Amino acid sequence: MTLISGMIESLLLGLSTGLFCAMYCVPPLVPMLCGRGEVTVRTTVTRTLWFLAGRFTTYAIMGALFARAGLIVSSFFDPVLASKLSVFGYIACALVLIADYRLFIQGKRTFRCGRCTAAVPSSAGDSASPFAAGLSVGLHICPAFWTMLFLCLQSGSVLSSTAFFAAFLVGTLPFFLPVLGLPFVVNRVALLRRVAQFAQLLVAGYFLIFAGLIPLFFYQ
Amino acid sequence: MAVKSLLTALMTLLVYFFTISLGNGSVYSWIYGLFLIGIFAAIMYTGKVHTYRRVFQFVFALLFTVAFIGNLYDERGSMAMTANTFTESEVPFCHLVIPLVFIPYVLTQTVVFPARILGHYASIISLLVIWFVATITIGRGWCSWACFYGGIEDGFSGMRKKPLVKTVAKNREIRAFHFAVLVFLILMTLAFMSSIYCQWFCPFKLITEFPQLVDIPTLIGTFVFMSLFFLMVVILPLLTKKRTQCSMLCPFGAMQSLLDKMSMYRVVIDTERCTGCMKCAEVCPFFAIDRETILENKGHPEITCAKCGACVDVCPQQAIRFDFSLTKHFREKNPGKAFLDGPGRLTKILREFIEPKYFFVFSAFTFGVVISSGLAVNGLQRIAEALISAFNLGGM
Amino acid sequence: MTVGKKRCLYIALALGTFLVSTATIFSSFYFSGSLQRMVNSVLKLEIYPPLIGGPVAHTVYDPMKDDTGCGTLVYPANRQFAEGNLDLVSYTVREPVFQAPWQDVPEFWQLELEFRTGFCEHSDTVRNRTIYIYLHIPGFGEGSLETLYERSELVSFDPGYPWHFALAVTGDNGVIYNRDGDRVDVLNVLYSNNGKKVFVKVPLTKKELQRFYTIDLIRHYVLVAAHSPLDTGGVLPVAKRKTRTAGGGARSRLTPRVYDLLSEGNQSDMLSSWNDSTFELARIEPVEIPMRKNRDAAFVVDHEKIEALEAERNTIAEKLRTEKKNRLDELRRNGTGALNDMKELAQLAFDLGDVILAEKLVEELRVLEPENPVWIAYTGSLESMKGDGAPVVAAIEAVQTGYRYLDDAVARTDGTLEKAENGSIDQAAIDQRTTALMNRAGTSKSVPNEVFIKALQGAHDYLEAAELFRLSGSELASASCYLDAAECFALDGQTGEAALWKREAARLVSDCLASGTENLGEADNLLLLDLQIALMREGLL
Repeated sequence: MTLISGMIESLLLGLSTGLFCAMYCVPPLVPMLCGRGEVTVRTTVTRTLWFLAGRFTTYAIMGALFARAGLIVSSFFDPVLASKLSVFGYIACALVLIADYRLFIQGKRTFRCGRCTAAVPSSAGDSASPFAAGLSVGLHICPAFWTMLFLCLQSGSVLSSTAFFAAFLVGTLPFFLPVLGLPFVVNRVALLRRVAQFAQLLVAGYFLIFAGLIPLFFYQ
Repeated sequence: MAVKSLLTALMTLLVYFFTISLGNGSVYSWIYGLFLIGIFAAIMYTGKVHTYRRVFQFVFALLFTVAFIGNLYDERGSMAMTANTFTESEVPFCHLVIPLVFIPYVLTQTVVFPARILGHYASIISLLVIWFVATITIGRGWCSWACFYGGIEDGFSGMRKKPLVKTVAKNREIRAFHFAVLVFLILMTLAFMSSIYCQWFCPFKLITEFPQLVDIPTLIGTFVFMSLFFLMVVILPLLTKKRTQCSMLCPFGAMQSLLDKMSMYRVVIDTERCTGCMKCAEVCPFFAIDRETILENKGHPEITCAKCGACVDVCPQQAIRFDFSLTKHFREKNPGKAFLDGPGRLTKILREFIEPKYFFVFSAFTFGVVISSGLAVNGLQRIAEALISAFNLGGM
Repeated sequence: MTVGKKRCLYIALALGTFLVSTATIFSSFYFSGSLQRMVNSVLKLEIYPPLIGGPVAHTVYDPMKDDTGCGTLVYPANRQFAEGNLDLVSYTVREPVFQAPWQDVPEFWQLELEFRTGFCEHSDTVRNRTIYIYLHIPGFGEGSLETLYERSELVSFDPGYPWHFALAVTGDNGVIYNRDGDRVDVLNVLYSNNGKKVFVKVPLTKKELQRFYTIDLIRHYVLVAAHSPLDTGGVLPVAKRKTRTAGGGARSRLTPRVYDLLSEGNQSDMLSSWNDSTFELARIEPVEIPMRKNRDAAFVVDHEKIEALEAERNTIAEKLRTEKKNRLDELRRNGTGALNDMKELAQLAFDLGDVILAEKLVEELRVLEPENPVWIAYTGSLESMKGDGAPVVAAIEAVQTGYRYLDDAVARTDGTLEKAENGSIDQAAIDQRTTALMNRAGTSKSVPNEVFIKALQGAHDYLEAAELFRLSGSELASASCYLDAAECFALDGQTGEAALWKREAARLVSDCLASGTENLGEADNLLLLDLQIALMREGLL
């Protein structure tokens, strides 16, 4: 398999399964887009791009690991392990959403440590926060991601696997376009901001308890 | 008076058809039929919509519970859902799930609920048709006139004379929370491609069906839904005199609030008559009237109004009433003002003859009759047979 | 706006709203059946496959009533075995599933077996079947040519397709073994519809089994035997004569102990291929089943051929109708003094839709033969037909009255099928039963199921009638009843059952066409054409 053919295959995979990727990503993303600060097309695009960058980072790291590890990976990487990885992803995402709520919605961005005081800059709400959420969401292993991991494994090259995942991500981009419509809706109805804030906490709670801790401790 | 008598006579015919005739003229169908006619007549002739509506809905909810559980035992031998039920796609479809399956259906052309598609009263298409008809006719009035779950809460919310916990100041936050729950449930259903409301959060599993207790997660799930039932359906309604589950957790109620604009009837407030006594806000079970609603002269309750009639009955100035949605296009500066207003004798006669309240109640009650008849009669029969058998055993 | 205009507008709005809302509510209930079908024809709803075991990759339909193994086997004389318990009728393979919601094990592969009947009341719940599914995976290297337990089923496998995994399902237990006979994992076995359907879930948590995610095609050997907890492999042996502990009909010691084998060819040929002199066991062939649904496949409907058949059908129908009409006129002219003439005239009037004459004659015949279930059944049908076009309340009462007669007619002929199978009843009695059943089933099919909930009863009536027709040697009538039963199952929302019976109808029609239609009478020819047209439209012929 050449680099180009691999990238084309990844792009097509992204286009064909991107809907499901978007469906997984939307729960943490949409409340973060609508719940705080200004909700404009610019802030929506910025936060979404940071989110996708976080997702890409996780994908690239995993793709590189698979490429380096080679075929030995296929002997221990299986759906059960993939589910466990997803569970950690949900827990991490939940913590990110809770931290985001506390820092950027409740505004408690200042920390005291003894005599020192540190403050999280408000701009981190548009960058670091969505990036961290994207990082954690990237740990969710779906069938498309599974196929991509094995593509990387076959390529054997870190560079190729990064390129494959980049192509895959580009393939999923069209399915994120609808979020650009959010500012037009949120700015018309004042209550939607509060709704998004509550929804963020509910999503975090669900990810932490029902999708995270319960499967971690009680499912195989 | 003539209109009320005519409507009562029409309702009697409808009840005869839907309840008695389709019930094969059994004793139970007659008892329930007469109960329905009595309730309707009481509403018509006393003008008290909310009180009698509440009685009807509570009785229906109790009978539904008995019938549903009884049918489950007949079909399955227990209330527990087995792996079979899922695999065979035989889980009875519930209207509460409708908002959650909509977007996944649009995106994937599949329904994320393992129910029968056609050919059963609890099939997906059957409930979709019922939902659509409810939406275009009575809108969120479903929650007050046809919902067999909401009736339980309605009953508990009416038991105390005064609330122990007052909530009017928090109405807006509660409404926001309700819509947030809807958004959350839709997003999670989309992400996991299954109805997480049914899986974890539906309190009515306690009176319908629930997964078998086979492991710790199902035990946790059981604990969650039982707690939600006792808290949101029994205790909070008793304390607050509000329908807390319907107004805070029910995804169907939230969706119907958003779609209520499509319905043929609405509740309006005549801002000129209103004196701001706030009695309507106190009695509204759906958190649909705030201080701001009255002070800003909105002319109607908030989006979550379920047309239960509580505010209509309680208003001392009779400033709140039902109205036809279409007349809003012709209203003048006071949106709550009667369309036909003026001192003329003919205008007065017309206004009394075609009083929207009675037409709305007729339509809404028809819906309630259609939905309730089969199951309520079945429930009544089961109760009667159980009592007879208990007395016979006691006699032995 | 003037006051007068306001008043008119108000009245119009008020009455319009009231009438539309009430009429919508009322009619949505009354016409809910057709409304629902219309809505579903637009929405085409499907359940999200992982919730119900995964998307269907392929279904193989096995002929019905071939649970005789090599052709001569009979069930043991043990009342745990009811007729049809071991008759496999369909085998469905679903695509393997990953992260399925609401499942104990989210990664699994589901297989579904459907049998002709569920367990009887005497059955020790689920313990009367032993099912073996042997899987050959192309390119997987060496496999085994012998059964899991030596000499249990008494079959051998095609040397070109040795098996690599074996699923053994006995009662609630199921285990999957590899070719070395080592236990790989435990299966999750579920029964539904009182054992009529069996779901076998192969968990895919073990690495050895995760290859099922990537395979495109597997060859399946599916064997159904009678269960025995004491015999090798859980398979009840067979002997010359049936006993409580052995099936009957064995022709030698090497007769396979398999009652039904999933096959696209001739099962009895395969299961008769043993050799007593060389001690070779019967060799069986697998069925090739893809692991993914062929999403490009669609059945092709030959519209031209259908049109030609329809033209032929219309010609014959018109001819027969004219003959019946002429005969009816002749009988009316000559008078109906003789009882047989009167019966014939009533039948003709009913067939030709002359309801008034039919009612009159049937009433007279009921007076003459009050116990005859035929006239009671016709009375029931005629009463129900009065509901057609009547006001709603009258329509419901008419149908309910009709059912009182129909139920009475059917009740009077209970037990006919059992006697017919024993050969202890005459054809006239069988005809009475079929008439009663067909009348009731026809009414059940016509009335709205959402109001009367009769479609399922109609389906079972048609199936029993089909059985009686088959015993009378009328395969085409049997096929017609299967097709009608399928329609009733579809009305009841049981699309799986509907598909099964349509297939069976298609098989009977194919057999009839293969054996030649020269000797068919015109009525049978018409029936055959109707069946062909209906089945061709569904892509089943």
